[in-house]
Amino acid sequence: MRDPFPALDPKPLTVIGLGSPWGDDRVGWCLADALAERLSPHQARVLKLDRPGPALLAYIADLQHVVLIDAAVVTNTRIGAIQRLSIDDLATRSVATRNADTSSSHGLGLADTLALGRSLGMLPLALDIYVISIDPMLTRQTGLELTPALAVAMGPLADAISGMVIE
Amino acid sequence: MTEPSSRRIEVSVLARVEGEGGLEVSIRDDRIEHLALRIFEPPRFFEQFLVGHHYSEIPDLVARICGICPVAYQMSGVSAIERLFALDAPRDPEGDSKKHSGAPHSEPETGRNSQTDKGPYNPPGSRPDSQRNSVSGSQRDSELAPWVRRMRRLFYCGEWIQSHALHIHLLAAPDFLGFDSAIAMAASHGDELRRGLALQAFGNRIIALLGARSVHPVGARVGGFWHAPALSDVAAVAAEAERAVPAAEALLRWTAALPLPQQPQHFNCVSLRHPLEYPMMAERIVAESGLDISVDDFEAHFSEHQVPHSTALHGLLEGEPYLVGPLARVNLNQDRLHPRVQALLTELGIDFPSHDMAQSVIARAVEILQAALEAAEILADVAPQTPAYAELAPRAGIARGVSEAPRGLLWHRYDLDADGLIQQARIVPPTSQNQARIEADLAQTLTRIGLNADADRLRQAGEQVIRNYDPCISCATHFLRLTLNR
Repeated sequence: MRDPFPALDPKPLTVIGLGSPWGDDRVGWCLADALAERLSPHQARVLKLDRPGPALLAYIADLQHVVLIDAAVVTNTRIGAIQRLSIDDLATRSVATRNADTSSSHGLGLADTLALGRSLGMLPLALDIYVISIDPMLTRQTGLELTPALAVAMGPLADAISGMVIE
Repeated sequence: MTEPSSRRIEVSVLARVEGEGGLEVSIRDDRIEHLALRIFEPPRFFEQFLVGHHYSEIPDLVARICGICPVAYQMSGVSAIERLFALDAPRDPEGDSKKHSGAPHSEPETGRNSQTDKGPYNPPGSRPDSQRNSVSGSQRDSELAPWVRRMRRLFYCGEWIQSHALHIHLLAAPDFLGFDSAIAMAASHGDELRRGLALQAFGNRIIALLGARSVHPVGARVGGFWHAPALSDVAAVAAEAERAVPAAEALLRWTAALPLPQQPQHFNCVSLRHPLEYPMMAERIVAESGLDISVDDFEAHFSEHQVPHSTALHGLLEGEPYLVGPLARVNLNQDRLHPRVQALLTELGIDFPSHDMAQSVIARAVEILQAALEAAEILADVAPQTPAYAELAPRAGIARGVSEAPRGLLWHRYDLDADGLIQQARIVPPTSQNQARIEADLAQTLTRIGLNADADRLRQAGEQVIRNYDPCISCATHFLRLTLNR
């Protein structure tokens, strides 16, 4: 089914906000919304995905440059801290978060999915992963508003990502 | 005199299953003294959350129960409501006149269900001739009815394809091929995994076509869909379907060649039965034991009880464990499979019914091919439809509906008042129904291996038995009977 010689997506950048509808777990979606307002469809394709698991690979395979943004529970960091991680960094940190009772569906979280994608040669040519630290207790809140520290943190990251295109 | 020996085998957290569960086995004097599939994921109280909500909210609320099979929850829910409101549009073409036949379902069909059982495979969405013009109401309604049924079937095809593709490739195949995970399997089986992920993506795109998104879709409503898909989007997915069918055929060939253990067991299969179609939404529940009942009679035959080690209920049929899911469906409905599926099974020399649980992986591949073929046929002929739903007038009563989730029978009941508000809800998911069967399988499998075997060997075998059922623990843990003694 997969074209062995796929044409690369003509858009240079795809930005994917990962998350779920409520609480601070939606910070990736909020960033995607902000970037969709700043960037034209010709500059970047912007997507919001709800905990896609391994289905993420179908969205990123064969692309040139993908930026993933996700909320994460990272120990010893302040709420709103932004980290740019490699796939290997992510795998190491995912083990830590799993021990903190945040395991994902079928045990196939973002780190496992990307590791699988790497093994299968399904990753984009360039992949940037940004995680934003959240408080696990606040992920259970039901409102649409982000914790203030997260809302503040979004601005610089949105600037940096949109700068990738504008440069 | 020899001292009694005892040992305890424990899998604290099951890997590669949906949700949180574990396994506990106590062995004493070479016999299993205690065996428990522990489900300790907290109860989710969905049935109580539904109370007080309007029936129209059911599709969006119940979709949240499961990220893997939201379509099944939506379809069982809308089916229940529409059966109560006597909406003609999306109903199956079966009457409610059938009674419990008592005849074994696996026997030849001569004389059984002769009015509604229309023989082997029929195209999806087709109706018996006698009922083609039986839809009451306006001309628009008579056009809407088959359209909604076909789109719902397409919707469901998408869910079966994505769920089964995920289980076969990322959860079950590593067990059968001797790998710890799909990642470990990728180096030597990359083409098969890529094919599996492509099939999963195809299933997800079908769901998104009708539901706006593949996880917790929002397109379904009581009476139909909020709107029909754009024909340009239909054409794009239809083109994918043409490529998915050969991929699904190759997948079935591949699963048939897997080195599966041969361990037949005795168990009773339960599934829906439709007079024309391979069952997704239907009016009759059948079992190999001879049960053949209306959806409305489920509670008279099936019971649920609580066990101390699980936040999910255990389902029993007439007091005995039973199997629901792909293997049960194929066993009971192989004559409803698409001719191309039947031809390939014949070519491969695969015989159903089978009572070897390892064959579940083949049954899943059978259903992926069935769903891919049906999806291709439906997508090739999608007409525009505005509006894509019928408005219904609520009435008080008990609404019961059922559909075949990827993991098996999913039964819903809603008690509604005259304003259409839910007074009581009951949802019986497939994993609850399979729990007792899983524990029976575990006892047999571990005993066959030998209870003196190495603990790691028993632990690994236990995990593989459980994973083979594709349990959705998150779906199952929505009920807790709380007793306070003060």
